[in-house]
Amino acid sequence: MVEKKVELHFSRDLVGEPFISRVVAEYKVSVNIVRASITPDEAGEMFVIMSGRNDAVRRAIRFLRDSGVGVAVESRLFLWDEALCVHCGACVAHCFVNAFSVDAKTGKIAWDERTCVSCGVCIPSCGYGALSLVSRAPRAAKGGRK
Amino acid sequence: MTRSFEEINEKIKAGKAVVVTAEEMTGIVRKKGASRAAREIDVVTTGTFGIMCSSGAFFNCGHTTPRMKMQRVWMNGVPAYGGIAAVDFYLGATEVPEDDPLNRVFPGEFKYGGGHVIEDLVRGREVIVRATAYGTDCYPRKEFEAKFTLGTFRNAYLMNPRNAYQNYNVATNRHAKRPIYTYLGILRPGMANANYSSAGALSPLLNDPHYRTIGIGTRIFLGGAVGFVVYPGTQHDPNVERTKGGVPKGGAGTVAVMGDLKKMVPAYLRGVSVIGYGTSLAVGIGIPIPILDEEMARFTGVGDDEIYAPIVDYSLDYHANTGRILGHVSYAELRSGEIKVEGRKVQTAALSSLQKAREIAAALKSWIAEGRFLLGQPVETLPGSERGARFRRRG
Repeated sequence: MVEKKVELHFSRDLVGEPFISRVVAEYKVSVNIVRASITPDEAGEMFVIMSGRNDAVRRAIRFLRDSGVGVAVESRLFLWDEALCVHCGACVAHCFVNAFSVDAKTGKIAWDERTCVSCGVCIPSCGYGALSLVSRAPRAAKGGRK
Repeated sequence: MTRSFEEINEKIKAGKAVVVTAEEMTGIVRKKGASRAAREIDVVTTGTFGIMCSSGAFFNCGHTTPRMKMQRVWMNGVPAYGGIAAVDFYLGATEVPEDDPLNRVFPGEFKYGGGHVIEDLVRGREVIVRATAYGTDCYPRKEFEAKFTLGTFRNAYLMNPRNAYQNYNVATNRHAKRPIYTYLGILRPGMANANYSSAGALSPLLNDPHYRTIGIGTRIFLGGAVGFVVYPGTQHDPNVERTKGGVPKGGAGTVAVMGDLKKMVPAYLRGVSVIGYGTSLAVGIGIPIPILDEEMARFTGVGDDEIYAPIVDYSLDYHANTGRILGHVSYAELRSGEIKVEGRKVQTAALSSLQKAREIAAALKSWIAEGRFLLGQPVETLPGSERGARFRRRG
């Protein structure tokens, strides 16, 4: 079993296609849609967590790529900059996987890197610039890796 | 048992004052009772760190050659108010550059404003001061632009007309179908979250609910340095609903504070970008409370479970100013991470930093215990809750 955080980019002509249903039904990969912004007649993007058997996830990602969907796997990394954090807790209520918690003893905010899905939903809740997403360098196209 | 400011200051000078934080005091009063706590404790320190609008700084940049009466002034592109004198100007925390996109693309990001300029200066960064003027016989110069650091200003005073609100609203979104963007943060629809901003039992004015010891001349911790309460804060209102213990059940007292910006530190003075709202300044404040008698021991012994805040629907009742609230909730409940509003579970989030409030109370405690900080006896205390004063709705 593997779990991959995947960013999907749909061009305008692909927005009407039921890609996610096919990934679930045909490739037996479960898809947790963390964030989606898709409007008919406009390009869209989606941030999902795909989990299933290793080969199934790999084949599902190849299917998406072959269909023309832009796929970036584990491409974004969420960063919590403790030097900028004031430990207020505004972010806590905006994380739906509860990656942030308040230590009752110290009052400090703790961020659990393993729980965080790097969705970025919490970022606007921080007024101190302590939360950000950085893009990892895009992976070279298949076969082009040295 | 009573003791005076003078007696406490003598003990501080001798290094013999017994100082505890407001959190420690809660435990002491509950364990030993207010009478014994009053005999044993001389000073209780408080602390709060949060976004405090109604903050800003006065600057004097020194006279230029030739002389100039600055009419319009900008600091890093953020307008400052220059209609005071020749080279005095005031920069407000919520001021934003004239070319900021504001909320035109909603919600606006408000990446930089007056609060950030103040933080930049305190961090030792250069700030560009630009000014224009119409020119007079005595002040002929019409344009000025130069880089300044905090040290090169002739004067730089933090001067906040309203800080350290004694209690505050808990904000939620009951009405709107979309997230709303307020000065109390992002409120998701269907009362998905409720945000609050008070240090509760550590908060300065909640430990002296009737302002018996705080007023003009009270020496305080301000932005990491020594500052003063200089006046009642704007909107100061003692005549609000209170608990039996005297604790206001909503926003009530406030203080105007002032201190030397040059001595402050960025850990306790931070520019803030509040999405969809604007910029502001987060300020760290701590006020020492002298235990003059048993009543002050009882007041400072207040715990989070005895302080109640009103829950307000910021998607309707707040902006329409209806005065309606959805109920009261204690800070102990708010701190638990979840409250119940109209029978529904609502996740809570703090905008005030408990960790920094504790740091401030602890810092002030060590300053006093080490004899480095004497209490300032107010020349006049803040207006208190007058007997028989009419309860009126706050605007």
